Amino acid sequence: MRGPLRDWADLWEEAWYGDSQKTGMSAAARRGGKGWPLIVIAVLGLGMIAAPAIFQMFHRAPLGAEMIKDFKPYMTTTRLAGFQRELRQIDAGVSDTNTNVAHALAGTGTAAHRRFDARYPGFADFQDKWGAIYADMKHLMDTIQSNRVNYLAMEGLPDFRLFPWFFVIPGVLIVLLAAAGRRRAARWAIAGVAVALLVAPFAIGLFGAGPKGAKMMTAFQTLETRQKVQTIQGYFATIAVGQGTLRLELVPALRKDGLSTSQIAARFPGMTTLNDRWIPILNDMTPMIGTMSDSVDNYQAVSALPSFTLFPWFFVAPGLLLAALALGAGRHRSATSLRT
Amino acid sequence: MRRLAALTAATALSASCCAIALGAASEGTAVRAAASKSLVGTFKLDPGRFSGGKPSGSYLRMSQPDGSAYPNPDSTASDKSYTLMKPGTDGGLATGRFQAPPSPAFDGKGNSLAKRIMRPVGFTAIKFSVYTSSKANSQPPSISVSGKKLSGQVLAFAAAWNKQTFNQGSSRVTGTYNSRTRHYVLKWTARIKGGPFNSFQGTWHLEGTFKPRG
Repeated sequence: MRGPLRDWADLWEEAWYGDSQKTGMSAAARRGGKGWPLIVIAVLGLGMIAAPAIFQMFHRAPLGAEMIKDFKPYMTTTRLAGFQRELRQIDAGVSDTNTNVAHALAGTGTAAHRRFDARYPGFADFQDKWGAIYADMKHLMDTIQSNRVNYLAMEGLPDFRLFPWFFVIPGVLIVLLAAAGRRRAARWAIAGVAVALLVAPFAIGLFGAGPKGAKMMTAFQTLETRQKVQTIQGYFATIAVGQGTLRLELVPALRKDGLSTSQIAARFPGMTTLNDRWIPILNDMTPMIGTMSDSVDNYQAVSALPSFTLFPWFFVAPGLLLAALALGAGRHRSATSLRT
Repeated sequence: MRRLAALTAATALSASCCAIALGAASEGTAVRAAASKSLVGTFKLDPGRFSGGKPSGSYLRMSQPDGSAYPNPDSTASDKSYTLMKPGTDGGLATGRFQAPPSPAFDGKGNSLAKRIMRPVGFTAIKFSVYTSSKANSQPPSISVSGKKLSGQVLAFAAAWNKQTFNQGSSRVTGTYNSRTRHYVLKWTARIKGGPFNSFQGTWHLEGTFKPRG
């Protein structure tokens, strides 16, 4: 070995074992010397122990685990397709009512439609606001649906509650091994920890899941807010009043005009479907809104953590540094032994 | 010497006044304490009504986080923000014991099956009702009367709707009571924590006749 690499290796060797290594002094004498690699290793270990506390992972990670668990029932293709279908059913019901039912009850033309709106203000208000509500709710459902894969990647990781310990346990081991001094066994054990840190992100799929989790967190940034949830709650108030008008006023009015249930269903399929499906829609959607509401604080806590894209590197970077510190002297000592 | 005598007399007079005042206060407190009486029995519900633009009897009014009323299209009141209640099989709200929901608490469509305090009533097409349960709070409702004023807690009070339950209890129940006719009014507000109606507020107004137990 020649040049700068040898100079670095000599410095490292001297620091780890002391100058006495070259003079052939006893093992006890070799334990004298600067020992700065051990100090760096110990500091790295302490940093890994402190990191979860610094980032409040012990508080935030369980909230993340709770959020992942709470959304699980809704993040299936069946359930998400169901929500989209329900939105379309509401849309078809509003459209059918605003055209065909209005014509049947009040006649055609602008003046007739004004009479219809005046007679049924609950539906008129609903119809007026529905376009914007539908667009917003569809965007919400599209966002959730398009992030299903990202959610599944996060859900496939080990329980979030374990994540702080993925730093603390190796950190404690590193500190203990650094305290063991410059024994060969301790050096090899440190190397083992380094390898484990390097392998872990690959083993648990963090390089794949991390960026996906980061994407999901970014996508939900405008959805998981108190304001957004309250907006959606407000939408349901509008939809409920409008649907109530269909159910309790318009259908009875059509019956009073002489139409039978089957005739109403045949002539106004959109409105009929909305009426028939309203309770299942409520059964299905309100718990999801509830979960969104209950997850706002959990989402905010998790989003305060460093980006999930960086998580694999929180293992790889210390692993590389440890490996360099622990293995560097071994290669130089072998080269030195061969030369002599 | 004269000054000393005057000072002594003034001090003695002040001490006497303080003693009399303290005695009167403690006697008043004792009188007030004696007048506060726990009402154990059933606060029977008068059915809710809406007439002349005003509600009466027993009813719920729900408001959204922004303070606006949440209309219930199924309400029989012309102002849909009032949901009118009808008495259940127990006649109304009982103090000193729980009125737990049945098992199952909901039917397949999410209608509440609890019917002891009030009859289930439609709320946006699904029936809601109320109950009191030790799962909501370890203390059953308790109401006391002092003069004509009622106070107490209904922390175990909860609403059930669409296979979900919502805390609607309060430690600050107030109201009025006529000890001769036993007519009462109980009122409280409760903000929902969690779920699809998070931060919505229920304003409860129970009115009727109190029936003591036993």
